[in-house]
Amino acid sequence: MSNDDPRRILVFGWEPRWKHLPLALLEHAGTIPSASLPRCLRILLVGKGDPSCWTHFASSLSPAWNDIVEYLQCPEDWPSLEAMIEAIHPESAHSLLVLPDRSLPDPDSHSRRICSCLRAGRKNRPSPHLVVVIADPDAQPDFSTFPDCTILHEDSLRATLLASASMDVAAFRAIEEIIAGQEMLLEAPVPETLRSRTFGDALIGLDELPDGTPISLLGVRQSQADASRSLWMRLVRGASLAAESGIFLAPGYDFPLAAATSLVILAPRTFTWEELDEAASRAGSRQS
Amino acid sequence: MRKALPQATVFHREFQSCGALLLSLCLLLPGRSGARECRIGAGRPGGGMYGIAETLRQRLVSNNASVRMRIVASDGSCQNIESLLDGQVAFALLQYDIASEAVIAGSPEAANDLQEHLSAFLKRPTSPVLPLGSWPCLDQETRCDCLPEQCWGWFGPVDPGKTSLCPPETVLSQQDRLVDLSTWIRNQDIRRSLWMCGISPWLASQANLKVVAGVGDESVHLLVRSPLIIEDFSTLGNYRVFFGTPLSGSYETARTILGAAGLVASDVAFPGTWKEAIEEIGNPESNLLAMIRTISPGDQEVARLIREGLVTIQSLPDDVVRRLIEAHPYFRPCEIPKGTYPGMGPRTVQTICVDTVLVTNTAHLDAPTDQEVEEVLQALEHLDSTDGSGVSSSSIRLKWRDFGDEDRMDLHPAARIRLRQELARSWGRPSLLLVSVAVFLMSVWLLRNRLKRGRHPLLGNMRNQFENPAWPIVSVLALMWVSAFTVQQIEQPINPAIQKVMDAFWSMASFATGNFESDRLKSPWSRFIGILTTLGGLGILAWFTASLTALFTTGRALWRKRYAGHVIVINAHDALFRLVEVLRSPGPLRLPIVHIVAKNLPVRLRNRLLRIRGVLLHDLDAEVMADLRLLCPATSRRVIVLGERTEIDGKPAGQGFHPLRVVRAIRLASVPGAEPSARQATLQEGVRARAGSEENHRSRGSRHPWTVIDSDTENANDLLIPNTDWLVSAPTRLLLEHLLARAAFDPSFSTVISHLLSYQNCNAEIWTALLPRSSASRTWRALREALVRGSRRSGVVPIGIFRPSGDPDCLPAATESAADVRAWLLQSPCSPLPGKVLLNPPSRFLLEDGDSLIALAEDEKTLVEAVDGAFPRGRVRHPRSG
Repeated sequence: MSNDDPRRILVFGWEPRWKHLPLALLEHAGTIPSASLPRCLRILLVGKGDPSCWTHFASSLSPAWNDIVEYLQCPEDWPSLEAMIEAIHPESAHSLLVLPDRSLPDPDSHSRRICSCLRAGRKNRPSPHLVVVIADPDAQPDFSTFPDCTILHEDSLRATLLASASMDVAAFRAIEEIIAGQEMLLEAPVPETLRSRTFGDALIGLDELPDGTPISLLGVRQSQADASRSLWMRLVRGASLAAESGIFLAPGYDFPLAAATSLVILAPRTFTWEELDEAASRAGSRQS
Repeated sequence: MRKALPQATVFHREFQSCGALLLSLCLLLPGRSGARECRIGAGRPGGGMYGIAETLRQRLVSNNASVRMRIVASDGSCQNIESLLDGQVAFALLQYDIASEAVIAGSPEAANDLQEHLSAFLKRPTSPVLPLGSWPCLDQETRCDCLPEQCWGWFGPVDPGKTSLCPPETVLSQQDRLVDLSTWIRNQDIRRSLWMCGISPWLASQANLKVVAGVGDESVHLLVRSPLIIEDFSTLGNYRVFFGTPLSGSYETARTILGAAGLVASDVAFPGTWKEAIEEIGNPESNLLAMIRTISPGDQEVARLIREGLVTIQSLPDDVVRRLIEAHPYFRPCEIPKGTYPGMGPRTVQTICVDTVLVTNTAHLDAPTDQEVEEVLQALEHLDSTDGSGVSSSSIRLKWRDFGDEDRMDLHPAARIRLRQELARSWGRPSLLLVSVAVFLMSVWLLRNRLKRGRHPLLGNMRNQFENPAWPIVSVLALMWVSAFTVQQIEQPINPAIQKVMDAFWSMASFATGNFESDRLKSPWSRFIGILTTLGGLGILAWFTASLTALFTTGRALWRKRYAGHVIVINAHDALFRLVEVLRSPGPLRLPIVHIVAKNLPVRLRNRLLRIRGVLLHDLDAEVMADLRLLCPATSRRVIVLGERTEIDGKPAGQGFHPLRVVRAIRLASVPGAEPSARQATLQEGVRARAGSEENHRSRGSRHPWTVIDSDTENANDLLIPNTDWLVSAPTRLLLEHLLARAAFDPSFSTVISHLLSYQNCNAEIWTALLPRSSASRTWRALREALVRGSRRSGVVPIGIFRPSGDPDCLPAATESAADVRAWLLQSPCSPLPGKVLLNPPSRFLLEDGDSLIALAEDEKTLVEAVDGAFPRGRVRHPRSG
């Protein structure tokens, strides 16, 4: 879960209703747009609309946005689209975001075309991480052939957030804080001092870094092979997450950390392995 | 039988000469020019029949009718029927049973019956031996080629030549028999054992009797010497009974009654006249025990006897009545009402009745024409007390049907017209009334439907109507009354147990509740109606049970479920399905009814939504307070306002409900006391009563529902500023874009969040639980340790604290379990919505009263139990609860 070395972010299918996306990208890249904008991140917005729509939108923001965000009008015809995608070198981007086109009867058809162009232009080169937002949940299998592809269903996510807010407002606020706040989800190897302990022991002891920065242990990650063989999915109350990701949130207090490859931690900042090891040592001594 | 008999007989010659004489007499009589005089057979002078005949005669004269009546006195019905059959009179007044017997005797089946009767009679040891070769057979294959002359008038004419060739002596000597057939034939008792009054089957077969009208109703009076009571007719065998003068209808009826009781009339008959019987019954030494008379109720002579205490009037035994009705369907059960006679006591007398009918013989050569019969009917209809002869209009009750179980006699054509007119009168008015009521109800129903159009779809539909238990009650009552009325009409002439509508009603009431008793009803049609009533009653009973159950369980619960703790969703788009799926997913506090109010909902969405159980669509205007109030937002668990979607399926979605106006409508619709109907008001009051007392609610202010608004709108601040205590802003689009941004840098982040929001089984989600007051002043680290040590099986992972910033008095009592506290929060008008989330707090962070724990847990219940396990709650009385 590293966010080092941000390069270019390509956003396909951008339209003004995704107005918060550029700012959110900058925010979570560790940069806040201001007078001194970092030069390490570049965002290319590709949309069907006229460039003036972005110009009009960007004019309400800081002028420095124009140095970071670029807008490119996407051609309608297939050869031009293919040529355009090849011209912008998507393989060199850090990640690609593909958004649905709600103006079409099939909002995901445009995304399929873009993904096809991306796959055609990849030519056995390592492809950047691809995030596809789909409008129709039934279209998910169409994008499952792309490796390293994260598929998000726009309506489902929004509906679930609404449902969460309607069921438990405080929980929703917590989710809101996790998604849009400054807390980070980090993954760290299991410290040696905790190898022989259980998840419950780590939960009690591992609550702050040596400098007092609070951290919260959320779960563990197993290797995918171990995860697929694991019985914890069935045996432990609270075990969660899909086996393919290997991440288990709240796996149960008796979960042996020896079976985990890393810990999933909520923290306000990044930390080093040494810091975590020391925090684990302090926790062990405190418990003993 | 008729074709089997020779036509040219001495009788015919006499009959023709008699007819010619009658015709000439009619022509010679004074009065209206061309008026014809017809003879009418009446009873004895001074009797009821004679009075009617006399009154009729006078009325015809006063009407200047074309027909006149000449009264022929007789001994009674028997002589009248004989006179009518042989053509001596054109009309006859007689009892209906006698007339019916004549019809039966003249039927083709009577020949067979006659032979069977004779055969049975002759086989009796006491019977005279009849030469079988001399049988008075009535067909062409007669074996009685030498019948004695004495018998022809009864069995029918035989060939005179053969008669002369075969004198009886010859027959007897040839057949070597002992009994003179003519003696047997002359025996009235034998003849009467076949048919009443010893009616000649041959004469009856030649006649065509038609009923002109029923003119009176006569009841069998069982008068028993006072103070005796006859419970069993068999006791009469040792005494004498007076039952009238021979050849009278009363005599024949009494003879039949005694026969039904198993007595032979000749064994018990009192050999005297009515006056002698009256004198005798007053004699204590007399053997005369009872008198059976068939007379009109209210007879003066009987009244005198009862008043003087000489006799009491008693009911006929039930078994006798039942046997009579079954064997002689021209009798009908009836009762002599209480008060008919002075001193008869405060009870009605169950007996049998028989009508007095005016009969004509249309086969007669001098039979009255239809016009003449019509004039007779007109005269009968206008009889009144001024006509003298002691006959009042009240005693002449004309009728043309219901003479008994089966109306065996045909009506005269003129009488048939009267019957149709009477039926039209009796049924036409109720039918017209029923049609009018039906039209009125239909009009009301149509008008009501028209007025209801556009109103709340759940306030009144057919299903709701059928769920009302009043309908089955009304239906079963209607079923019972309709069937009772119909059955009473059918059964009243033949069933002594069902004489009044109430008798039939109680029978039908037992039928409608499944207690079918076939012997209660006599007529097949009544039994069929009884079966229908039973089946209908069972169905209605099931309906009633179901509706009553629905009233106490489903209906009320459904209403409460629909309009208490429900979720209202305003505006709609594709996100609805996932939203409804999560809202309806199994969970401790989920499965609410979801009401969706959407404008311009596409058919695809509508059809998909309608398939979801517990989802109700409403065509209301969510921006109008009155419309929104129908959904009871004050009692709802949540109101969710989705953002307006400008495009659905690539097409313009039209204008949705504007969130700002919706929020205004919710605020107005949630004001207490503004309920649209008493029913909803009652419901809401009930819901409030569960949450707390009314005073507390007043003090706590309005009862606005927690409203979650998808604040993807420019004026979210406008919405939130005045409504912060009950409005939850959910910037879902902003969050989605942040999630996209995070996923762009860290794919695992989106995976974790997606799973946290999946709300599936065996999946950890973020839940909150109110911490007990005992946890106050503890540190975050202590809380974590307490959770892990106190409830190791829960596996919850604490990640933060939610600290409300609302009214500090609006905190739940800490005396109950966490689940109760949670339920209190759901119903509480005090909203802890404003507050601050402290994710990942420092280990020395101090907890305060009112803090909620934010944690990863399998479900909300697991978290609540973990908190309860970590901090056992004491029974501490909360200051606010006092």
